[in-house]
Amino acid sequence: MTTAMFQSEWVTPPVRGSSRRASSQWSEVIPIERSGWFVEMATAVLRLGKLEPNWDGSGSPPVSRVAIHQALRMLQAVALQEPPLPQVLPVPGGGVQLEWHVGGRELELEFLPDGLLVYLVVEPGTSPEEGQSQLPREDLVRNLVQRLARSTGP
Amino acid sequence: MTKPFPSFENPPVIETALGVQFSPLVGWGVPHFGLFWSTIRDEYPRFQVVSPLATEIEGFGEETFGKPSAKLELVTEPDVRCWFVHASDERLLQLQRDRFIHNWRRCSGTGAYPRYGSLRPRFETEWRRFLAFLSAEGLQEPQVVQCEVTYINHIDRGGIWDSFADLGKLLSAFSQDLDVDFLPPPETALLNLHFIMPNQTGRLRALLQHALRGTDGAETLQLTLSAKGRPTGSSVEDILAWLDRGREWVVRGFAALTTEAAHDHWGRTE
Repeated sequence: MTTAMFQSEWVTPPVRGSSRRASSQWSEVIPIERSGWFVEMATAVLRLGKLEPNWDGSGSPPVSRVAIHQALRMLQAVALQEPPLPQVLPVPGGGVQLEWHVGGRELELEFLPDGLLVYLVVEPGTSPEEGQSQLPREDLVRNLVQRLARSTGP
Repeated sequence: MTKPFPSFENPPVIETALGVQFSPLVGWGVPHFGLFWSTIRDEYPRFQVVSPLATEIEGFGEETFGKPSAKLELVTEPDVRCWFVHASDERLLQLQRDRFIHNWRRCSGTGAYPRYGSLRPRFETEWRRFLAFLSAEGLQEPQVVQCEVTYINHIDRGGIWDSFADLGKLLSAFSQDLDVDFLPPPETALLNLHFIMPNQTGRLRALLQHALRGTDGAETLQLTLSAKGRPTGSSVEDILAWLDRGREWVVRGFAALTTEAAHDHWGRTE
């Protein structure tokens, strides 16, 4: 649909340099300035980009590059925190999901094909918390991941 | 005697950018992006809006290390950079109020590096087309303040290098072996070198980064060489003359920074 295509064109491109400053470079690269944690996660996410159409046997399109870029961007944002390794999963329809299950807490970050972020937080003794964000929100994701750490600390 | 100009049968270059920076065009507004696109849309059918490039002019001496100064600028238009992607997916025009850049990139599995000899006239054609557009719209001719030549090279893991203990096999600056009795091989690498061109006509920057390539996830060392400097004037001839000089610095700089063993790997012929 024209509208959806138009929206996807406006999604911020992925990181293209050692810093977040814009550069004249066109080709997409993900700088590895951080730990092996980020390398492992980025590799897993990029692998999803190789899935063929109908990878789920139910007619799903390939995983969207926009979803992959947003997932990489958020992983880079939390790399210094080195949280536990999330599960990296493709989502039918072309999205990417990062999933943590840590000490009774759960965090799901789903990046939809148009780049929209949908999240779910489950913490013991409270109602599940859901939310979404259209814009890249590194601060939001850092806070969500930080909450996981409460269950892994001393 | 001048050394022969380096040439490689299979250079690791995956992208080039030839561009100019100019004083912000008076009268340029967001609608002009669309108007310009309408003149090239047959060849460049896709667009993307991305973050604008900052205004950065190479400075020397006191200009480089002088006191920071506050600058008040009245902004009446949002700062926008537009990408116009060629139908081949191998070429890109980047346009903003003070920038015009033509990129070529290697698409996975296809096409050899087309060589500067064909990229230069391509840039010239596109730049002249942009100038004609500005003239037709009654806008001023750009006052060019800087030119840029950038070559991006990808040297994938598993070829010349397999671990960061092998940096000396790739970069002449690292040809001394590390004292591995004390330090383990580096986990990653980031190298940033700047060189001033003769008579302060520009600056060459070399940046080595450890990265994952977005298209296939391959682990690579990205070696970017970028020459920027002020041409003697704003004419097409002045711009092309500076680009030629910048390209010479990028290519000779690349050859100087890398080892003979690496040159053999890429099939150096000159």
